[in-house]
Amino acid sequence: MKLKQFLMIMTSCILLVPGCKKGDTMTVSESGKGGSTARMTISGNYLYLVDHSKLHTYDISDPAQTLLLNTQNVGWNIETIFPYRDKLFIGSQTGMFVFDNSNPKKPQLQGQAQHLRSCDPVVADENFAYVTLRSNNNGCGGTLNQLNIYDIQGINVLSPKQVATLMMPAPQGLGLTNNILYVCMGTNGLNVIDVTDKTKPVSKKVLSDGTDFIDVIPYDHTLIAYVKGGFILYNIANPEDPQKIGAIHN
Amino acid sequence: MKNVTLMLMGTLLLLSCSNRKNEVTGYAPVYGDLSEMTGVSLEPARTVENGGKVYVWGDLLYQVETGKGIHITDIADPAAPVQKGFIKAGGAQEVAVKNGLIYTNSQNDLVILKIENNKLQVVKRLPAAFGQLSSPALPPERGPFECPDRSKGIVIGWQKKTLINPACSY
Repeated sequence: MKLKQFLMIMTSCILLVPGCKKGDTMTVSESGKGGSTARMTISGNYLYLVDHSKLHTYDISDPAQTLLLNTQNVGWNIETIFPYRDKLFIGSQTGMFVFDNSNPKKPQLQGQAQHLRSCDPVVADENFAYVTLRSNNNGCGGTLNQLNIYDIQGINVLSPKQVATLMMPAPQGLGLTNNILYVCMGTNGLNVIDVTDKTKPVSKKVLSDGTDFIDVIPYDHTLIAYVKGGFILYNIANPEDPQKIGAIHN
Repeated sequence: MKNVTLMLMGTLLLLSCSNRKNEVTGYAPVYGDLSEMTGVSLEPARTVENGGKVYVWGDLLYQVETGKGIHITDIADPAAPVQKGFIKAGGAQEVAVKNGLIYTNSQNDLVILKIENNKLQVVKRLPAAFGQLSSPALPPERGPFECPDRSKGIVIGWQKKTLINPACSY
């Protein structure tokens, strides 16, 4: 029912494009949700794109007149970008960069957390950032395989402080909802982690049936899992206990 | 005249001799037709082969078919997802959606697409916005390679083969 209502609002929005497109209050529902491994994301009227070393900011308030506003150097081997409210989290092979996005036309680097060489998608909420580090595969290098949680409250964001580490095999994409963090571990499964206490993340269960999990998007009561060969949908009405309900994959 | 012919034949013989001596294993460009490669179109739903990144908007799930395009699936009933169609977009790796407009890459271009009455429309194309993501300007390994010939199209990849006197190397 919620999805249906959502779609109806969307439809009326499209019909009323001139009226809706300038309203900033609608931006969250207007732009849907992506995964933690994306290189491109939309926040409000802006599209952010990361290549290997730079962040590009586009104004998409009038899509037909999309304009590159600016390009800024971030670092080397950038892989992912994830928006949360007025922040952008950028994952590279050597660290996490937090950009203040309160001026969405020109995000400003606020802080960064360095780590040893590895792959590292990031998700975040108001006060904490969650980063997975994965070794070796796809030429990422390094030897770490773990989840790191960083405190980004207040001025801590200037130099995010690591508050917890949880070791696990080959962690990749991740998604957060209601203090439950879902971490994809390739063929090792999907790790369901309770992060109520940020200093003590607890793995509640691992879904593992040979599926190769790459990334996830928690979406209301549905968890969308991007797996090798397609996707699987889980019901997460009880977030700790995802139930497989549908799939399209080969 | 006869002398000239003989000389030419001699030269050709010499060339073929030296050619045999300079056979090396290296990379040769694989060419693609630019308009064919950067064209986008709406097609019937197809089987997911090498599913890529996902993006959800309303009841619709968009999943990249790595290098080929985007599958659109209605997940209003998560127990019974329904494939609605496929956007062909060569080189596709990324997807995001806002107000029903689909933002993706067509090779190295950023494209903004709109589906209306079952027709796909390109709202905007920004050439080379993904400039450094997938341009295979050089072969994957160092060594000799066959120089790209622009008249044959644009280079979309490299294949290893036996080359005769390759003029390029890095």
